[in-house]
Amino acid sequence: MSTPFEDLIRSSLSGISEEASPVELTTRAVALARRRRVTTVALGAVAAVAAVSAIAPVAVGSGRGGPPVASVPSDDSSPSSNIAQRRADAVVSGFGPVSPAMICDNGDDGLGIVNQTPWYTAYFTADGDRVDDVVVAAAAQAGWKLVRDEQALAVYPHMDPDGTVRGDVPFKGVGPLAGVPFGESTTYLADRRDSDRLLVVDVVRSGPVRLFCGGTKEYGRQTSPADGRVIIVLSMTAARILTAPS
Amino acid sequence: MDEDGRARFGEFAAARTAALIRTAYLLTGDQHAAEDLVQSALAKTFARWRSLRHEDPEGYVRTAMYREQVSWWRRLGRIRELVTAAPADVATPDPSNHADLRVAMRTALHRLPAPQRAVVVLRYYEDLTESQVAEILGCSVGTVRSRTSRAVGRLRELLSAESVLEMTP
Repeated sequence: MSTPFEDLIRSSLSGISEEASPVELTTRAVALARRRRVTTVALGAVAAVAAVSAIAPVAVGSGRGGPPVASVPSDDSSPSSNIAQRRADAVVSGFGPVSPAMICDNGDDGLGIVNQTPWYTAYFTADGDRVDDVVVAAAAQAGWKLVRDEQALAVYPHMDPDGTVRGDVPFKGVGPLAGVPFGESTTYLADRRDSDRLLVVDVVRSGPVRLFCGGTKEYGRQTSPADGRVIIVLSMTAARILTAPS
Repeated sequence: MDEDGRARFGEFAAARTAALIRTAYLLTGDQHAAEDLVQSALAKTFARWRSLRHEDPEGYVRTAMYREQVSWWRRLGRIRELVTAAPADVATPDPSNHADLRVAMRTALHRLPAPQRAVVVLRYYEDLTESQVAEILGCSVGTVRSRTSRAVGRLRELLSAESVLEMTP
């Protein structure tokens, strides 16, 4: 027999559960399952080699220069398998009012053996008018509350109290870094970052930005926003994909 | 896996994902974490689909989800919970008190340790018996009983502190 409080819990749970948004996860689940299988096979192969090495060191010693350990087969990841990109896309869909045009993007679905953290970075040009308001609103409609990166104030000595960086910052020998523009810019950070989940948006109004995306020839090249335009650098990192013990 | 197996898994996942995400949302308190949890549980189900498809895939995926959530909680040292525990929402006065109550309940639920939260969701959302809950979580009925008691007591305490609870048992 239920108590009134237990009934209250039931009704509340039912109401709370309706807040969740349904999404399609089949493709991502299948991709993850396949990656896990590849990981298991690869780790099994490594373990087998290690075991053989331990049992027969002489044989391994004489086998230097032989065939390498089987590498993990590469598996092209579809855009939909990158959780970080999907979440970034939800933010970008709100950039419409500033007429965004993507320059290039880069990312990883985090389903590999070494990299288990999905990440995604995209570079856009956009209209400069109202861009800050639009970026913050776009993030909000996707569930992220952006605030100015206050920590950046301590990093850049040339930053104004409102968070705007003017002039050069002292990394001249290195050159502009991704997401660290040297000109006038504002950095926003999602205030709901998790232990390993983060959204960072840079709005660059002038000065060079280094693009870490594109092909081998374009990777690392610099660009600057045209008059009246800005460059938006959006970086999304999703939660690390963990494999629970069976 | 053959084409037919993949198609059947796709049908199963498409039919059940929405319900699974609702449950996962209760367990995690966060849409993104809920998606991660369901995705991981579905991936495990897909890997064993050949043997599961003729048995109880729904039961398997739910068991995987609940156990994985508790496992993540233990492995991550509660970091995720501590960081996300503070809700961004600020409750506005609600004449019916229902919205206030839901916000308070969501906050209170999120303050429970994952094992207790799992028991609450299984008992009061899924309406399972104590023995069914014990089977899913892989623990004894006594453990389920004690976790439920502690969880309900804690929820009552938290809601009373928020002054949204004015009823007595």
